[in-house]
Amino acid sequence: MKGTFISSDYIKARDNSIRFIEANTDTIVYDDILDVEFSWQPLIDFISGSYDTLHIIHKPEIHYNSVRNLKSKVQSQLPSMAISESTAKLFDLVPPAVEDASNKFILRMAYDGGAIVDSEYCADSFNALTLMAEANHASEVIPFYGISGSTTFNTINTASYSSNVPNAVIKYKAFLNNDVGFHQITDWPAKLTSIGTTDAKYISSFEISDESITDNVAWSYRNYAITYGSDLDSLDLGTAIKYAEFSLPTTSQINFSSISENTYLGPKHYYEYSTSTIKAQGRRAGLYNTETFLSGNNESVALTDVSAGQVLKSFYVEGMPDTDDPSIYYNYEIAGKTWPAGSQITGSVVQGDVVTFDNNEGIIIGLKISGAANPVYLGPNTSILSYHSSSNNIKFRALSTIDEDDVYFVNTDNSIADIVENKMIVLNDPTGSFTTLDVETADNVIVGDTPMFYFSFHNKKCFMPGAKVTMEDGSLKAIEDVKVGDSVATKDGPCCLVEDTYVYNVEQMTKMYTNGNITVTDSHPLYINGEWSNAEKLGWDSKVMYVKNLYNIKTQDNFILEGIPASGTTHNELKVTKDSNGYTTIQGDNKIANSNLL
Amino acid sequence: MQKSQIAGLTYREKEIGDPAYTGTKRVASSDEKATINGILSNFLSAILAKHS
Repeated sequence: MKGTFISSDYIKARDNSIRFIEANTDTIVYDDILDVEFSWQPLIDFISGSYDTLHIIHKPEIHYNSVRNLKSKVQSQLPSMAISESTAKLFDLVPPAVEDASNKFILRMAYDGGAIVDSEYCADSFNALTLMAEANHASEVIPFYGISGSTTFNTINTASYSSNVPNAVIKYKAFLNNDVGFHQITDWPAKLTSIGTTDAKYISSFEISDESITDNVAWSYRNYAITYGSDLDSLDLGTAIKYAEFSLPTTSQINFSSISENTYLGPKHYYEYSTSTIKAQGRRAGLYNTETFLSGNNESVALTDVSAGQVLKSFYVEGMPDTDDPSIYYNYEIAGKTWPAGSQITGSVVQGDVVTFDNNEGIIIGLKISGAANPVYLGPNTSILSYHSSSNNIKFRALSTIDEDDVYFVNTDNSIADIVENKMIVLNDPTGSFTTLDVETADNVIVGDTPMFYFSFHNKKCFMPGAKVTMEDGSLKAIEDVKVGDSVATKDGPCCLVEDTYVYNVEQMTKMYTNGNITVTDSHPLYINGEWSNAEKLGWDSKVMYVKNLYNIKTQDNFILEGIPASGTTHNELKVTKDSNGYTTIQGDNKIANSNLL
Repeated sequence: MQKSQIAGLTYREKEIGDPAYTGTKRVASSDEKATINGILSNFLSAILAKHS
C-alpha cells in the first residue's frame, strides 16, 4: 500500500468562511506542533495489525525530526514492525523507487513528479483551484482569477482592506516560493487584463478575516494528511494554526504614500502577510558577502577573492564524510561535545569552483557566538556543525531551525561557546549574495576571526556568458541576463519558468568546448540529433582558456541556447548511468509522464 | 559589503524560534477541523473523479 504525505493550507476569509489555498507535498512538520496539533497516531493505528513493514521515503533536510519522531513511536508501540527508509535529495523530481507488497505500507514524504496528486495539484496550485471550481466547490477555495485554455475562471473579490493589508496575491501557476507577490490593487480591470495576457500567472484575493489577525499577527490553518490507495482515502494527522513570522506592517512601513493603482508591496513583506516559515532551498545557503575567510597565513580573504587552488585556513574533522548528499551529512553525528581525536586546524585547498547565489529574497541570518565582536551573516539554510545538549551530539543543523537557547558551538579547542544571537534579518531590499565552496575532504573552512564552520557544497558549471537563450515569446536574452521567473522556450515549445540561476566564479584555466556561439564545459547535456549528448562526446572543438565566470539556469524542463536544447537542471538532478559497454548515458530531460495518482 | 552596513539595510529582525505572537496559541476548533476535512475530502474526490 502506498500513501502520500500532504499538507493543505486554509484561511478564514473575509466572510469568515474557511477557504482552501493550496496543497503541498515535500511538506514540513514544524517542531512546535509535533505531538501537539500533529500526531502520527492515526498512521500507527492504521498499519497496526495490517502491515508488518513500514517504508518511509523522505528528504533529510526537511523531514529529519518528523521521521525521527515517527520511527520512535512505531518502535515503541509496534516493536515487531520492520522499518526501512530511503532518502531523496532536496530537489529531486522523482524519489527512489520502492517495490510495493501486501505486507508493506510505503509512506512517501518526498515529492514525486510521476504522481498526479503531486505534479498536477500540489506543484501547481492553480490546477487545484480550477479543479475545485469545476467540481462545484468554488465557495470552498480562495477567490481567484485565471485562464486555463479557453476557460476564464473569475471568482475574485475586489474589495479593499485597510491600508496596511494587501487585497491580492499574484502567483505563478507552477509555484515558486520567491514569486508570490502581494499587491494593493484598485484598478482591477487593468490588472485582470494584464493577467489574462499570460498563461503563466493567476491572481487570488488576499483573504483574511478580522478574526484571523490576533495582536496584529496574521494566522492560517495547515492540515496534514496521508492519502492512500486507489480511492485516495485519507488519514487525518491534525490541523495546526500557523502564525506569521512578523506582525503586519504599519502603513508607513509599506510606504503607503507611494502606492498607486496596482502596487507590489515587495518581498520584504512576505513573512508578514503569509504564514510561511523559511523554506529549505540550497541557494539560500552559504556565507553572506559581509564575511571573509582566512588564508593559510592568517590574512583576511574576501569571498570575491577566493578561487580554486587557493589555500584557506580550515579545521579538519577526523571521520567526517566528504559529501553533499544530505542523507549522509544530516545523519552524521559526533557523540558528545568534543571533536574526534585527530581533528585539527590545518590549511585546505579550494576545490573546483566558488559558487555565488544572489540573495533574491532579502533574508539573511545573523549568528553571533559568545565572545565574538560581530555576528557572522549567512544564508538561512546554511547548515553548521553545532552541539545540542539534549541530544548530546555534534551534527549539521540548519541555521533556520536552531534555537540559540539549546544549541552551542564547539570551538576548535573543544571549549563550548554560547550562541548569543541567531537572528532572522529581513533587508529593505534583496541585497548581496551567498557564497559556497568546496574544500578538501573532511575539512571545514574557518570564517573570519571566529571558529565558525559550515558545510561546503560541491559545484557545477556550464556555459560561458554571451550565449543567447530563447525566451517564451521568441526573443533572445544572454544567459547571464536571464532571471528567476523568466519564461523560456524549450525543444517542445513555449513552456518553462526559470526556477534558479547560477553564476560560478571559476577564474582559472579550464578546458571548454565551442560550437558556433556556444562555449560549454565538457558534460553539460545538450539535445542534438534527437538524443541527449554533450560537447565532449560530440567532438566539439576544445581549448584550454581562462574562464572568469560560467552560467547556467534551472528550468522545469530544458531550455534553448543558440538554437540548441540544453538541460535546464543542475547536474546532480540528471540520471547518469553506464551501460554494459561502459558508455555513459545522460538523461537530461526531466519531463515526466504522469501515470499514477500517488 | 561591510558588516556595519547591515543595520542600515535591515527592515525587520527577530530571533529564530521567537514567535511574533506571544499570547496563548489558538487551536482549531472541532467545527473548523471538520470543515477543513470536508474540503480536503472534496479535493481528493475531485482528483479521483477527473483521473479515474
